[in-house]
Amino acid sequence: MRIKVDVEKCIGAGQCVNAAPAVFAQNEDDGMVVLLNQAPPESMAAGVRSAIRLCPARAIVFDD
Amino acid sequence: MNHVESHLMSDTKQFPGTSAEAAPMASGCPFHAAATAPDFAILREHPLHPPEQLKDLRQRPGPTKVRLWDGSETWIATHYEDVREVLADPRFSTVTTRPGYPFVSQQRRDVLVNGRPNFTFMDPPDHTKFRRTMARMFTVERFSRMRPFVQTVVDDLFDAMERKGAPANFVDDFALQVPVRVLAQLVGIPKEGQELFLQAGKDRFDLSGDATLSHGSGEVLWNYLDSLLAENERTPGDGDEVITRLVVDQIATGKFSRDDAILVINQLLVAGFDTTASTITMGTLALLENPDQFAKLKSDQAAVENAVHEILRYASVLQFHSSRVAREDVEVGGKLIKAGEGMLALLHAANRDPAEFPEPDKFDIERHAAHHVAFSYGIHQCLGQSLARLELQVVFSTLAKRFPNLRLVKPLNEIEFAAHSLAYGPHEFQIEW
Repeated sequence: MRIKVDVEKCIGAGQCVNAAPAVFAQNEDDGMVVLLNQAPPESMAAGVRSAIRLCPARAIVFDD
Repeated sequence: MNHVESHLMSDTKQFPGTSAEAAPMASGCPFHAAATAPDFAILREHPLHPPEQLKDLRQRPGPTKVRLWDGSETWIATHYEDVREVLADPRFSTVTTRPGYPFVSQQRRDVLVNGRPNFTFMDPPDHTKFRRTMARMFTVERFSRMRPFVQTVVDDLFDAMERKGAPANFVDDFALQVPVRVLAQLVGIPKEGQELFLQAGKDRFDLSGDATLSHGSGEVLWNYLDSLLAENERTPGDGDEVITRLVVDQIATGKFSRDDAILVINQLLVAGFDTTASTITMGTLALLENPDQFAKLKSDQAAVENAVHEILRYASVLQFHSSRVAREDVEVGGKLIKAGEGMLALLHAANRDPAEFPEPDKFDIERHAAHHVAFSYGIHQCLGQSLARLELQVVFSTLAKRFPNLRLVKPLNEIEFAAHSLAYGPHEFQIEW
């Protein structure tokens, strides 16, 4: 699975950090999303799907 | 309520000077309006469930139309997916001065049209500046550092309750106190300012109230924050309270005016306590009315994280908040919403949609409910949601641990609720243990 984030869309709600903390973080300077792993392993797929579903700004998408 | 009743009821109401300009459709064709658009139901049949009308309207596909207090018609979205689509779509505006913006009561109209708009009522790009500035102070990591403080607040309040002995006033002595103390700490508001934002929030949220009260207490709070900021600008602190960060990072660098800073602080204080307090009270009532669910929480402290998602879904206290107006023609759920038409994306209706949450009226703390929309959705989703969840987790895990025999002094049907509040919840109830 490959994913990408759109920082312009991000509002820093932090839902992704809660859902998949090994894949997403928040930038200390502005609270916006930082993608820690563009190709998360299958073991993290559930958390990543949850993050995509929960993101209020729809800023996370599959990159295929 | 059937259509005949709703038509008669609205005919008996007098809203001089408002219906003609607000509802050209309705005045041009009253029978058509009455036949197609029922009066929007505010009152609940049961305190723990949204009005039955929403269930009826959800039987139809897509958004439907209702008639508001001033005779105007608006769309309402009751399906989960429609609500999310509306709230995520930039073609819907939250700017209250746009023609067609639907106000759920006269108080709401007067408060929003005559007051200073906070960034909930701004679209991008105006919204972006405020939201981004606040997001850096509201990260998940920042809030998680507040957990020990929140635990101390909850422990202190429960200690005081035990010392005083049962029965206790649960709303005033506990549920309101938690968010007020946590917000004061987060923002950096001294004790004397806490009463001011409590009052301002109460007046603003009372949809049936007098808007001049809200303006009055809002101005008192505004002036207080103005002098508090002025003091901080003279002698800036070095902590991570919101007020200090705004003074040092924003005002001193010229990015924010003092009014900008007051506006966001004001919004945090007013938005953050009634909503949280009501979720604490409604969640407690849900647990007490469903002893099997309370038992699960008592036996498994790890269940609290999921239980809080379900409490938020089930309580959905922000009942009439998500008004929008279409900036251009938009299709939602197979219906064409024309430019200039109003839309209420009802959060509590979405959270009870059986297509998304099977047996939605059942309170089930093991349900998968993290994707509820109690905090709204889209770019205006609650800024403080991580903090609210943290407060609720600490409250409910501690409650289950310390008060396993918690019970209501009077039964649910004798408790009075703030039916006309933006944040639904009980005025007061007593507990014993």
